Amino acid sequence: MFEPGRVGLIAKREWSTRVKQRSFQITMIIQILVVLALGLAPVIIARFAGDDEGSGASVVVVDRADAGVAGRLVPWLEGDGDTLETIEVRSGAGSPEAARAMIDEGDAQSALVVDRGDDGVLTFTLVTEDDRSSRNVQRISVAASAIAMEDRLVQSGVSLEEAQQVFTPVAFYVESPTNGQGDTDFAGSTDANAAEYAIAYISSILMFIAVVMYGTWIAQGVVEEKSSRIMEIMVNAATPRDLLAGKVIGIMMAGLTQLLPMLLVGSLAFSFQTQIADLMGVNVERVLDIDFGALTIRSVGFFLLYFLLGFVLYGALYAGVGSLVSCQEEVSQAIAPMMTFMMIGYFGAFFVLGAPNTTVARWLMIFPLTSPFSAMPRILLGNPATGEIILSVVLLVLTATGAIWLAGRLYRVGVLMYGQRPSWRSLARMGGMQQVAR
Amino acid sequence: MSLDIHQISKSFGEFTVVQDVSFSVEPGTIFGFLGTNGAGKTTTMRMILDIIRPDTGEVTWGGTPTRYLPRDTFGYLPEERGLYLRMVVEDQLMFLAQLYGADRKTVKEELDVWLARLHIEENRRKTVDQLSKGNQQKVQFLASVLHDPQILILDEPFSGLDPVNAEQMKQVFREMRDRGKTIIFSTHQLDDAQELSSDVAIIHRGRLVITGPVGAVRQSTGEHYVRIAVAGDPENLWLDGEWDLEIVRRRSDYTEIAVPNEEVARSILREAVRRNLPVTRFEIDYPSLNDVFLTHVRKMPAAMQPTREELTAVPVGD
Repeated sequence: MFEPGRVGLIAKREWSTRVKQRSFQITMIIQILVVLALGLAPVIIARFAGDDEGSGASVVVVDRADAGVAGRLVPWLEGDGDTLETIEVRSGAGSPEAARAMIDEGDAQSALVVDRGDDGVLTFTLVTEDDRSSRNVQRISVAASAIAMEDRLVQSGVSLEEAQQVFTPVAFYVESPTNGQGDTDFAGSTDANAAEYAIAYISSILMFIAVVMYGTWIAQGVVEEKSSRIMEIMVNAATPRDLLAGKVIGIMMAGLTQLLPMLLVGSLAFSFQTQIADLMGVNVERVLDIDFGALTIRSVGFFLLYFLLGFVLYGALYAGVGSLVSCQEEVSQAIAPMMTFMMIGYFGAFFVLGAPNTTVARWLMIFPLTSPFSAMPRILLGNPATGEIILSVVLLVLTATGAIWLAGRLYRVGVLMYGQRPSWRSLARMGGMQQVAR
Repeated sequence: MSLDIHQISKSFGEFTVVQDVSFSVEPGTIFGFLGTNGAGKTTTMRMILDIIRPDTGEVTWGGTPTRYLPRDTFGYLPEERGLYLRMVVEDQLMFLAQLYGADRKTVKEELDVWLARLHIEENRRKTVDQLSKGNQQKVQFLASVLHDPQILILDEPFSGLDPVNAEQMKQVFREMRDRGKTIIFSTHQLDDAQELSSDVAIIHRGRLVITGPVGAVRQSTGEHYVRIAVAGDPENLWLDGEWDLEIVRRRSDYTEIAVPNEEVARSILREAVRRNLPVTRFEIDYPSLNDVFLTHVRKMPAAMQPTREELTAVPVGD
């Protein structure tokens, strides 16, 4: 069916002309810089914000009531290591003015001034730039009222130990209603799950970008060959099928040449965030903690399988469509019908990310025009039957083969047709007449 | 082992482009395929190459339909030039020759020889869009010969070439013929064909007008042409009068007269001598391919008469 030598020759030419283009190289560098910036963003932000250690959250206590407030605040303002951060409690500012100066110099975020009123009740004044409703102000307020009540009990004769027992901070957890039932909420999920979510998410986006960007290259390349008439020599020297396969493979390789370094740099940047932070001497409280150990052979294998098959399918269709139009301006218009299916697959993928075990998700995975985009989320996050995955892949293989056949046919008819866009009827007729042999 | 075009026809929709055309090309010859613009030359050549298939009829080489031949049998120079404009000449030619299946090393050696032969060595590392039109044309020609094909199909190979380069190209054609290649070239400059080819086929509106060896075709009208020049009388006005001669054209250097036979021709010379005119040129010849074409077409029904546009493509006059 194909002549590997010719296909390889064409693919090599496509690859090398693309790769040598200045715009190709610049795009590649920009992409790498962008993922590097994204990957290292937490570290970089911490680095620039981090001139003052512990500025994250701290409160200076000016205890004019001498009620031991600083020590009593500590258990209240401890973080839980997850969603609540620890607010550091300091003492050492003798006056509200000194405390204000500390805030101005960035040594502390807020100051809590404690006085005892004439009625013997503690009063608290929080000096802060934070909004009244901010989480830290709320936490300090809760702590202050507990300490005030504790203090009243002590004043009325209860021992300090007893009072403190009453006011031990309560164990209080917040959970989302679906948690613990295989939910896929990004924040609420386990680390491994988050990684699979990220991989599914990235693979759908990559697939879409690759098909749209490099598919357009394919269509434009065909139109260029048509309009420069070199196509007349090419179809004489090789079969339309070889030309088509070579073009799709060559541009796919060029696409991978552009994408893989970006992926590599990106995943390295994400996975070594902690180490990079250490190297730069930055203390990053919360890095995007994706465990790329979840990049198993299974997930990478499925990604490559769907990527290659999906690219061949759509690449062939792009080439076929390109062979039917005669100038670059018509390309985007002519690919609109295909674009509809790609959009369904792409936006479908986001739906599947949230609901991977629904009927819609199953159909999006089986239907070959959407499966390149929507299958990965379901395979990684849902629990599709093995038979279903096999069906999806087999259908995709068959459709990709059919697309090459169809596009080869269109190519044969389309490449020598200039000017008017052909009607479907004339295509069918001419396709029929030009059967056999090559 | 000849290339036989056997009653091929091709229509696009309602429009018949080629109708029932047949001719044969002997191997190792240069064959001229002639006609006005839009006569169906390019479509016929594409059918020979199996780029498009005839609706009816068949093209064979040594009895084998061309669609079963290896792709490197043919070299093709399309009428609309086709090259990757941004690709380096050398890379491009290597690529195309290899696409035809040629061996890389052989092609490289051939390429060196050819670039030198056509005096375009210095353009080897330039991209095509940096070349002059004439040089692009030469590169295009190389793209059709580097894989060493048996048959060369050249669509309007001289268009865009200046006289010097056209002459060089004609010389190359003769060399290729001497190396045993079969060359079919189309042109609307019928004089190019008369000079180069041993056989021709002339088509008009998709139909074959005449085919055969150049000599036989030129004799096919049964007419002879007399060319006569007389010193001091560029218009040869003495020819007018009771003679009733068919004067084909009056040029500044000679006058051309169509005569039914050589006897009439000689009588013209006798009359000139009798009048004691200073004759500087007298020549009896067959009509040129150009005139043969016009004579045949004028005998066709009114609907087949060439339009002004078609005729402007055929240079009437030498």
